[in-house]
Amino acid sequence: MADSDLQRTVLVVEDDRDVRESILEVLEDNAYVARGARNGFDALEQLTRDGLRPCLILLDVMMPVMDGWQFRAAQRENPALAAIPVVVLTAHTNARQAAEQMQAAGFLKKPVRLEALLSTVERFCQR
Amino acid sequence: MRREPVIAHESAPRAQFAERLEVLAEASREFAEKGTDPRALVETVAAIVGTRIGETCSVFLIGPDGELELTAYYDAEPAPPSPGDVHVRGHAGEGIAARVAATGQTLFLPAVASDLVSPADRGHGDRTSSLRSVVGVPLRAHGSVIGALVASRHRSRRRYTIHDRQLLEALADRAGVAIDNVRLLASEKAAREAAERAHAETDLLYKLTDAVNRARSLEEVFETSLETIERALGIERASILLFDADDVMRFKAWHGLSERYRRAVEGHSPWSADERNAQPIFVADVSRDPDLASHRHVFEAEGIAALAFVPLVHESRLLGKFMLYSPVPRTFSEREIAVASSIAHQVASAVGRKLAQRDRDRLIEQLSNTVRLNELFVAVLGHDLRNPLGAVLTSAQMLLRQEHGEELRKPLARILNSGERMARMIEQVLDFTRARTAGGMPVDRGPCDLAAVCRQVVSEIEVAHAPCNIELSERGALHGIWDADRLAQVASNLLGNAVQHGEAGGPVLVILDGTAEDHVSIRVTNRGALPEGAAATLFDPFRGAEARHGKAKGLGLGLYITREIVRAHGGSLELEPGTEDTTFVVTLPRRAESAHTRREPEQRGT
Repeated sequence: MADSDLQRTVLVVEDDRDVRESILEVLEDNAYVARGARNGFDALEQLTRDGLRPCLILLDVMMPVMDGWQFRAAQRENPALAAIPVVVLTAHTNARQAAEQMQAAGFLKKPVRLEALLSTVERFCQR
Repeated sequence: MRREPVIAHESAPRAQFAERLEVLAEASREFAEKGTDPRALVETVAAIVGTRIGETCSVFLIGPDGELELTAYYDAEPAPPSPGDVHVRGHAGEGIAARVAATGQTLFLPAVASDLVSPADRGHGDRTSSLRSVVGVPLRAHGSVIGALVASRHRSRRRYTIHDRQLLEALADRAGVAIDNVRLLASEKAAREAAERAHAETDLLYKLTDAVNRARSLEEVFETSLETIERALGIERASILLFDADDVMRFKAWHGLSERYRRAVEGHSPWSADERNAQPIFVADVSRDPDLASHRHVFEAEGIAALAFVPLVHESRLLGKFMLYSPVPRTFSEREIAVASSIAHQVASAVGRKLAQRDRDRLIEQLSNTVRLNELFVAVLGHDLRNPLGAVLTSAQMLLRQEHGEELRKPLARILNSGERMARMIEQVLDFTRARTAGGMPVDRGPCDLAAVCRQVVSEIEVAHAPCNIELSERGALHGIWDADRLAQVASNLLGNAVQHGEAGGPVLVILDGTAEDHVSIRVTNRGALPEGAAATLFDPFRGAEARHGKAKGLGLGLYITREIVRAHGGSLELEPGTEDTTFVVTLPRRAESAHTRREPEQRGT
């Protein structure tokens, strides 16, 4: 993957396939390279095994196998991955607080509004 | 009473008179001394006559049943006791006494002719058969005959004289009055004692009622009841048994019963559980009761000689029984039966009430569990619906951003609008379950500018409900420590309602007042009054929709949630209904002390 691709690659970690794919479609429709992961473990595999280095990780919190909290802990422990910014996807009432506790760069409340999604991604990635 | 002149026949008149005075004075003294004891008094009367007139004296009194009874007997020189002696004494002079009592006249027989003495007077022994001289005088009180005094001589050949007769009559005169007085005193005493006893029983029952009403558990009720019945009836052992779910009588509380005994008799009952007219059963002597023959050895081993079964009946339902035990054969008096029944009634009422309460509590718990489960189900369902809905909305938004003809834009816009409405409803249901299950609406407080929040909401509403007329005015400082997102929800709901339900085109006034030091207020007023009766249920969850006659498109949770958010900030939401317009007033403390402070996320949510 070329560096320019990495600059515009977004990793979407979301266990709900419909949500994940709709976000991927939106992102691709807006000239981003979008990759999906079914859970934290899948995401971690793509980052470590495949060497994927996205400009942003959109991270769901509640997921099977490895949830968002566990993924964040593993990511922050790995120096190669720790710097990748993470925006939390959450329906939690106190979304901001949850994002702060996960030391995320931001949060998007579910259901995700298109404008909010694109303006957030724009802050971290180039098209 | 008739008075006869004292006539002397056998001794000098003066001496006789003096003797009579002396005897009467002695009698008066003795009567006064024995003035409170009826038995001692009657025996004294017999003794004075027996010693001063001789030889024997029988005092007969008419009992409560109207029968003449030999109450006292005196013999100056008692013969050695012989078999049948008591029997003879018991009947000596009975015929004479009966005649005297019946006629009210003195029977004076100085020389007894055998044909004048009835077989009853002759009796069965030597003494009455040797009756030589006899005088019987009536005992009177208030002009009525109350008995008879019979003096008789058997050994001496001396005959009674007129003087003896007069002395006996004078003595009988005084004795009648004295006996009547002492009887009156005794009956007064008995009445007083009965009243005191009744008072003590009433007091016991009152205390029992009080204790039973205060009791927090059935065990307390049982214990108090056992203690009360034991005190009231002077017994040491009692027990309470209730029918269990299988209609078997089981011991619930007891005093002084061994486990062996309880095991042996448990389940035994004179009544079945469906008995509708159970009456108390009193067994004065268990060894003679054929119904209890099968358990006789058990009673003997436990030292139980008498028993009482008192049914516990509440609202015509037999709940169990109260058992009383006596170590000796015992007949329970009517009074004791009444007391036992009263106490049983109290116990039955208390048991009935407690059982009903237990059933109610159980039902409430079941219902609460069902409600909790339903709310949890709704919360989970609402939560899980958000993901697919999110996918629908994102896809619709994406398609709408692309170039399409009008024929595709319209249905896409409809998908988006309906999806967003659905999303709002899901959020409301989730807020509702959060408010009810998490101990109040969670709020995340921080420095907040109410004016900025409201301006944003006004502009959103104006876009969503165009054309509409909203006039926002601001006074004073509008800063505080609040949850900005939640306050936006409050403003959005109140303004949305005002625009939708107020008179079409009428202005909606929003006044933000920050002039007070410790709180701010939001007043939202629209033209048009609320429908009649709507105010009472306006804030009830799922009711507001009904009150608005189906005009609403939502779930009717908006005002409920709005008020919960305001309350979570330590504030209040009030309705000021008018005839021309409707106003909602939100009052918010700038910094709530009591309500929920910034909370930790209660779970790691999605």
